[in-house]
Amino acid sequence: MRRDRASGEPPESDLREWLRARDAGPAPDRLRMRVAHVTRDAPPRRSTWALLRPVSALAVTAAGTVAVTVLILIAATTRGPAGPLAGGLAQSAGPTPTSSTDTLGLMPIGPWPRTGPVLALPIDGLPFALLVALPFVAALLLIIYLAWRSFADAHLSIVQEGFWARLWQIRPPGVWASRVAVVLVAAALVVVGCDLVQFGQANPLTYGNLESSDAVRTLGSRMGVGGGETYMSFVPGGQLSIMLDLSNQGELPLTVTSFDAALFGEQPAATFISSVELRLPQGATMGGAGPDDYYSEAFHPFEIPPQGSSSMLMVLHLKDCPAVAPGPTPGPDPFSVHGYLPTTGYVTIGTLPFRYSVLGTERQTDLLLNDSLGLVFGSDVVTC
Amino acid sequence: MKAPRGDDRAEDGQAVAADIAVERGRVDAASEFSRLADRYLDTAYRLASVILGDPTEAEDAAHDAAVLAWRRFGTLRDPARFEQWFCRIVVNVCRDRLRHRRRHPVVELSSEEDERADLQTSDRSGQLLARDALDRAFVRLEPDHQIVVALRFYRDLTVDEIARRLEIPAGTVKSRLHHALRRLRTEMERQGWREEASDEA
Repeated sequence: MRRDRASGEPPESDLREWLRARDAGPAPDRLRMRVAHVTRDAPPRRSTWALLRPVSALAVTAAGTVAVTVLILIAATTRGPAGPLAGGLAQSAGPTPTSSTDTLGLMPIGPWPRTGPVLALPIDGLPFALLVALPFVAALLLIIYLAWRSFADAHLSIVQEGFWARLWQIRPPGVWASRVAVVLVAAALVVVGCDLVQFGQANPLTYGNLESSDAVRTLGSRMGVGGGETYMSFVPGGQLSIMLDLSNQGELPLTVTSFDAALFGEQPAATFISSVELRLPQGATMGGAGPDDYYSEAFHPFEIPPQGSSSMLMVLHLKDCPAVAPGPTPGPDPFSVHGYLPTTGYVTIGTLPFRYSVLGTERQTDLLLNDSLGLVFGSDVVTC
Repeated sequence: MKAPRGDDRAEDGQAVAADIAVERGRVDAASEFSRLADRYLDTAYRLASVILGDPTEAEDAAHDAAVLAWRRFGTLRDPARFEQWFCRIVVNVCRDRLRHRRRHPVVELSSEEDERADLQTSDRSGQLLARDALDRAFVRLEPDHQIVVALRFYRDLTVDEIARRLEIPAGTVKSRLHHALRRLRTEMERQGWREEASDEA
């Protein structure tokens, strides 16, 4: 006998020869007689189990689906009203913490710097929608795979065997355990997907209040149906300062990464603004003489803790528009004027676009100002 | 004694007719099965003898397979596939028997060292020496591997045909063949069989 030089294995011809040597030849008559008596033993019957096996496969699949549904319902009923940002992924299955409205609004500013990590993945919009859809698609594929394997087993069992026990012999217990694990993974994926949906819909970054405005330019304020409006006089080439407050209503820290100047530029008021400057409070100068002393730190990504807030100074640098007449001169005590109604043309700034990051995911939001800002000009028709 | 009413007689007649139909169906099935089993009994017996390596056990295996096949004959939808179906049952019976052997090994009186020494010192031809080594190596293969090797090199089935018959993926068949051949070589070498020795012989 030779050995296959290339593979080092016995050559096929030798194996064939050896196997044929084991061939016992035609079946002996004794065996034929025994087999001839086989049909007297029991009548053939169509196995009931063979018919029930597809049903059992369906039952396994249905049980998996029910398990997934129950887990989803558990996750949904124990979820906080504000989604995962109010409860966190790990807390989805536990009691939801009650968010306190008392902590919203103005808060004492903590020690600076509070710059959070800027690990922002720009996945807002369509990529984020795909990210949200991914767990659901994965869960669906897992369930389809489970159903397919169940039907394959049922088919295999029908074709091969006639005993119920064979179903367990075809696939060892480990396979069944892995199928249970697949159901659990699918359920976990669905829960994660639901969390991502909530995450996509939740907007933890909100506008707190207009803390203060430039006393030199403020004309007065007025309360409207949708909120207040503060009016400031437009001065060509000048600047306006407002102190505003940003709040984090979620349960996870968020990092304000940037002011979206491009989006801000789409507003009509941006026609009259050359640039926007943001300043942050600087701990070393707290208690200084004025806002410029207090907000002396240039803007950089900063973190707002959960349920916390942070103030900042926004300085609007106005364009030097020769065709625009300067706005009215403020009165002696503009902050006490609560029913101010401009008699000349004006534009308002109603939203401030910011970009922020939560869990490394960068989102964009247009903060709707409770107290919108009105730039009042000296004439009715204004172009710059 | 109460005379049977007309309705009772009609019901009895229906029951008898049903029994006759069932019996006729059973007789038809029995004759059909006997015809098919007799036709493919040689094939089944020879395959069992190759897998099991023992004519007596192969006879029992073929008989057991026939019993199982008769009990499940009702599940066979296409009689034209009887040969493949019966072959699969034979293979499954052989697999069970091989596994039973592994769980209840027969202890041979001569030790492995004695066998090796016997192989090296005997005056049998190198061909016979190698066959003995192959015989011992084959026994040490996993039952599933033995079956795949037998189907591939005895029945000359292709990988796809084996996969269809055993209802396993073709990749699994390839893998089992690969590992079986490697294991055969390893076992043969472990038993002292050498290519040079057999070549010289």
